[in-house]
Amino acid sequence: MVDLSISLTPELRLQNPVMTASGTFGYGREYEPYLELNKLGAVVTKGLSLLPKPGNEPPRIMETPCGMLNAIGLENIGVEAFLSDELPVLKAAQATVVVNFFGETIDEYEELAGIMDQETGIDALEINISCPNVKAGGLQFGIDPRMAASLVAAVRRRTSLPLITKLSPNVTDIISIAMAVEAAGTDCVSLINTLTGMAVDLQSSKPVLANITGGLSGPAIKPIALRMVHQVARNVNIPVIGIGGISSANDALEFLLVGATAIQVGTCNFANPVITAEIAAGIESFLHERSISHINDFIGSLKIPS
Amino acid sequence: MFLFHSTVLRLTEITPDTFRIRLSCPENFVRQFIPGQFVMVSVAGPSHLDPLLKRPFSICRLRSDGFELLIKVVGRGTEMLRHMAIGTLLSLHGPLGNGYPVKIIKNDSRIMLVAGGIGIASIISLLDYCLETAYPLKNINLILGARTSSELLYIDEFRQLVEKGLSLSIATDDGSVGHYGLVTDLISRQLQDVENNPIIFSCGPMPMLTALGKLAMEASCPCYLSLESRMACGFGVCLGCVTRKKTKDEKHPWVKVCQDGPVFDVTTLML
Ligand SMILES: Cc1cc2nc3c(=O)[nH]c(=O)nc-3n(C[C@H](O)[C@H](O)[C@H](O)COP(=O)(O)OP(=O)(O)OC[C@H]3O[C@@H](n4cnc5c(N)ncnc54)[C@H](O)[C@@H]3O)c2cc1C
Ligand SMILES: Cc1cc2nc3c(=O)[nH]c(=O)nc-3n(C[C@H](O)[C@H](O)[C@H](O)COP(=O)(O)O)c2cc1C
Ligand code: FES
Repeated sequence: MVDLSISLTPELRLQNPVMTASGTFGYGREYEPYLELNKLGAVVTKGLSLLPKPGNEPPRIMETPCGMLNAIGLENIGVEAFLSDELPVLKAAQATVVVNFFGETIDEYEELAGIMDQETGIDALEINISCPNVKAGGLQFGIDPRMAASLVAAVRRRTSLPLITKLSPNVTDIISIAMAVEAAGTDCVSLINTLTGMAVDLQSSKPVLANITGGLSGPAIKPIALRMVHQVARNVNIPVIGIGGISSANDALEFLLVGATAIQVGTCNFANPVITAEIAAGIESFLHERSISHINDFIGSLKIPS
Repeated sequence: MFLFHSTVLRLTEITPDTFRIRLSCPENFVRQFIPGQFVMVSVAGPSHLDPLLKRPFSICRLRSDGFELLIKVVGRGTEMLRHMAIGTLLSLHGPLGNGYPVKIIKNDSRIMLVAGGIGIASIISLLDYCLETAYPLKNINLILGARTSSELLYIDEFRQLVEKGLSLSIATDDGSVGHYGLVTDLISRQLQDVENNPIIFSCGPMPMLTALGKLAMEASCPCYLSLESRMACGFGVCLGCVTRKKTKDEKHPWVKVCQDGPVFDVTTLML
């Protein structure tokens, strides 16, 4: 038996390192016909705001080579409906629940953190400072180390729940942002969110997405994500969660190798709703074949030739 | 809903850009199927990542050994499917979506089935359902629209049903068969003639559905439209496929085509 359990914080222990990425797993219930949610490391829910958000006009998605562009625009049901209608389903399934959330102002982030701090059944919060698809909020906090730090510090004051800060790759120096939010009190960082991209239609000479630009995700972004996770993991002392184009156990293992403590699977859930379970099983058999009894002995074991 | 591997059993070219593909499926798949539902089909082999996303196709016909899709080649994925060898293994997900509300069809109701182009794939599943449940053919009015005569699919089969009482009307953009012009011209004329309003079911290009929906509402006919949208997941999680519903609630303006649809009561949509 390989021990796949990892700790993100002393209170937040996951039975395996495979989490779902926000926005690609709904609120979890849609996957219940296919997966036992309590077998996942954690379910990360669709980004929540204080009030429901309608999101962007369609067309919202476009397939690209080995990936997709999306401009959903953070459509979500709002915190009240989440707590009354969705959280009970996740609780009943005994899933480990990480709630991803965002606001347009620091006050909104703080208020949301305060509300969720009062709830049972939420195991951690993931602050999204990195969504490229909304005008206000999200990304504006994610590109400046000082703003990112003051946001995280404000949220930290409002909750004792484990705090994950999700970083944007759309910056020149992700290490400085990661270090800034670490100093501000986040317990973990997760990266990466989507890369800003665009698609145009030659027939009509128009942008494909109504929002003009969108976020690129899927296997196409994996090398960038892997590089960023590697760089950040070497420069912070908190757990790093790797996200970006993970489509197989081998992909997940690569992220663990460069120093991620856990990983999130996003876009590939769409094509294969049971991919997370397959990845967890694949990690286990890889470690078993290598006679590695605890996943911690594998995490960060990348050998860099001197 | 099932996630399953399926074998390509048969592939038949019908016109230069349409083909039929027969796929195997789990046994109880057929029992769960409602006409108008669709499957998501991976067009890349297992462990291939490009194309990444599955493609939605209406389940056209059930067969003893599986089911058939009717596909028009429009891009990369459909082009790849066209060249699938017999015996190829594909990953599938389905049946998905709500399907047509078959329960509202009573034996004495008159129904109008309107298919534009490849929309016939979805409409045929409903016609087959009517045939299976011995719904009287004389109460069915099938209206087909196509760009030109060669794009009218299954036409010989439909003509045989005409002999048994089905009424069939055809419109082509180039006038090569039937009415010269749009299907909606035919429909507006027919709606004036009918004494009791038919229930309309339709699948086809969006401009046709929009025009048809308006006609149906003017004539106060119940009308159900099967919509298309770009889909990433097909089961309600990505929020990529939304379309605007008729509502004043600006906080919740959308329905998901994959999960709330693809079939919608026209009165619930913002056309
Ligand atoms: C519920 C549903 C049922 C469908 N049933 C059928 C069917 O029975 N037979 C059939 O031939 N087609 C059907 N379609 C359309 C089919 O899904 C698309 O033609 C197919 O996904 C295109 O894939 P591609 O890789 O060849 O095209 P791509 O290379 O991805 O795109 C090529 C062109 O096709 C258009 N396109 C892409 N995705 C869609 C889409 N989901 N709907 C409409 N146009 C699209 C693009 O705008 C582009 O112009 C259905 C779509 C939906 C949503
Ligand atoms: C359709 C879609 C919606 C997303 N919504 C959110 C969201 O609400 N909050 C968030 O932090 N990230 C969101 N993301 C980003 C993903 O969580 C993830 O960071 C990104 O897709 C990269 O991982 P992947 O390549 O495995 O998909 C979304 C991604 C997609 C494709
Ligand atoms: S296709 Fe993903 S929600 Fe409809």
